[in-house]
Amino acid sequence: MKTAPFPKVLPGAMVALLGALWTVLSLSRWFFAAGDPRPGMTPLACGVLLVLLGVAIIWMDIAARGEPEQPSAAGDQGPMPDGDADDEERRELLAVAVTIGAIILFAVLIRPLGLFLATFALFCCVATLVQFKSIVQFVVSYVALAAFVWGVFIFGLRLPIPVLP
Amino acid sequence: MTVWDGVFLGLSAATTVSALLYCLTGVTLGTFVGVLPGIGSLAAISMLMPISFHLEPQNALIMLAGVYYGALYGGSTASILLNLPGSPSSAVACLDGYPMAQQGRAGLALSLTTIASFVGASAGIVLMIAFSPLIASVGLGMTAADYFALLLLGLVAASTIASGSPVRGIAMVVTGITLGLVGTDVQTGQHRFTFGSLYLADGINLVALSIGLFGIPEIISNLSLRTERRVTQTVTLRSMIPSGDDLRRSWMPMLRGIGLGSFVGALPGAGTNIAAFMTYAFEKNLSRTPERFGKGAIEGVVAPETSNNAAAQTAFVPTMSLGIPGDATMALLLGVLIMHGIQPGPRLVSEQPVMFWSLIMSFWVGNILLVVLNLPLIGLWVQVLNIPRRYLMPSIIALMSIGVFSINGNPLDVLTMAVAGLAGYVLRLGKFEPAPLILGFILGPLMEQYFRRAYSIARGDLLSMVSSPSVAAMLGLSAVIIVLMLWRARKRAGTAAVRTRSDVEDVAS
Repeated sequence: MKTAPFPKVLPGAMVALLGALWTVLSLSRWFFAAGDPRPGMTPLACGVLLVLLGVAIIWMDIAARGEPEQPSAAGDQGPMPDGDADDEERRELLAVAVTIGAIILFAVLIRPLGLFLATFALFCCVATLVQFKSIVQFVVSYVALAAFVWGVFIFGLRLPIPVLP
Repeated sequence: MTVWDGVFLGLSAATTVSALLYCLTGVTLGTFVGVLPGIGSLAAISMLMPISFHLEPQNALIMLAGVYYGALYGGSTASILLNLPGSPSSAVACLDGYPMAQQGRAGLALSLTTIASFVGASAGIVLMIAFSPLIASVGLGMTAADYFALLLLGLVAASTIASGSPVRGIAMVVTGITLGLVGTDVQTGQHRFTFGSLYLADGINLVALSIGLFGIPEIISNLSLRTERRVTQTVTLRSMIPSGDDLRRSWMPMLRGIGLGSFVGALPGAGTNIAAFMTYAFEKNLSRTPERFGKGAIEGVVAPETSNNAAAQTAFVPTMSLGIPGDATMALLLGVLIMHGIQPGPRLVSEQPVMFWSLIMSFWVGNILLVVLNLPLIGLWVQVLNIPRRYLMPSIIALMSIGVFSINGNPLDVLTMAVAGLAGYVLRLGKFEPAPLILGFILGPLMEQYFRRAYSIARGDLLSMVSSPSVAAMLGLSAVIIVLMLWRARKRAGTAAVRTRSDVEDVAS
């Protein structure tokens, strides 16, 4: 999973930005008296440290700009042709969107629609990416999953999860 | 209580029907996820954590620990048969295991890894029995300042040694600490970084965060693949029987694997991956015929496998006896204890003897179960490798979502998981390891508490706080590790810059 483009300075910038945000937020809680360490002390220290580390990462990433990528330990097939790389990049971004989207959809639907329908919505979302061979295969897979989920969470663990709307 | 009393107490508790059932569930699930390429024990434990909250803490820990070492057994199967490591520590099994499979010796490689795993784990358990109570008794005499310094040393070592870039590792630990501070401050009751949200007043949900950081990126990685690889080899029981010569060549590498793995496993931050790769390198250097390594040498399969299983068991020593985890998996198990209301640390051995000793003895029970699962039933696990992705992936995502929702019945936990999943994906793109973040998240608040307690005891005098030789030594060691790692990183960056400059000059000329 390393096909999507990522600007060199972005990782360090993200860390520095998070640190800056934390520092600003911590300063409003910065009370420090001898023998009475206040709750703002550790967050402030962490925020300042993150800013410094972010700057160090930016500097290192810029310095290492020409360094070749390390090959993975196993199963590395070498560099891909441009067309394949574009295709893989698209597929990866689609996988991110579908996975995160399916989980958010489940979170939104679980209360109003209940376990079975929310799981069905999630299942449909992910199915767009894994491609079942037939509708029968899709339905059988969903029914098996729903039965398993009901067996473990509702029957086995007796959790008060809404099952139907 | 003597060690033998503990052993018998643990054995009686670990062999009850419920304990055996959870141990069997844990090791079976562990082997299952270990066999699946890419999904390691960390992701598997994260995914199973929601279910564990509905169990007795003792059974929950037995099951999750079973997943941890079960995944190590199963991890080598995919490495040997497909050249795709099931877990990071199994990557080393690809080096000689896959060539053995290509030579038609897949059965032998699989049986030797199982035997080596059992031998390594058994040795690790013996060492754990011997040393955990001793270390716990030392821990009882430690002050708040000692604990702060030890936790800091553990975090520094874990972030700089285990991850690729030490600076990125430290950044992840600090990020984890900051996220761990979100919620209600236990000493003053003030809300920190909650932005007025009652949901955040309890802090960020550990399960949602860990599943998001470890589980979801693995799912995305699996879903991104265009093709599925299938196992074509058949593994028969007959092909798994090692010859006398195979066993003769295996026992010394196993002994060396035990020694190195047990030592490395107990160190903070090293873990099973480093133990396995160090043992492989050591074995290759020691061999009179190093050219055989990488081409199907039995020693190259047996030694690292023994080592990573011994390391997996000794990693529990500091976790259980001091409450200081060496790696992210141990930190998650510690998190499970804390969420069950059990305070890990040296008092655990004396205050929760049944839990402590039953966990240790369940390791043995679990390892025996794993031998049964991995030798006669190996054909079943080979078939697991052929399960199409279309059945697995939607089910795993659904189970993760339902599991997280089931903890508090709160959809916000599921949304937190989604956000953490996206963050985990972005972190991987930026070459950040999420494991130090989880360590920082779990240990950070604990470290802050010890620091504030020690600081109050010292009446705000930092010098008197660090004047104790043990505290000074641990803080000094932390500083030395940071300086050494930064120096190494600077040297590496400098070398890369020189290389880039010369490349540009070459192109220009």
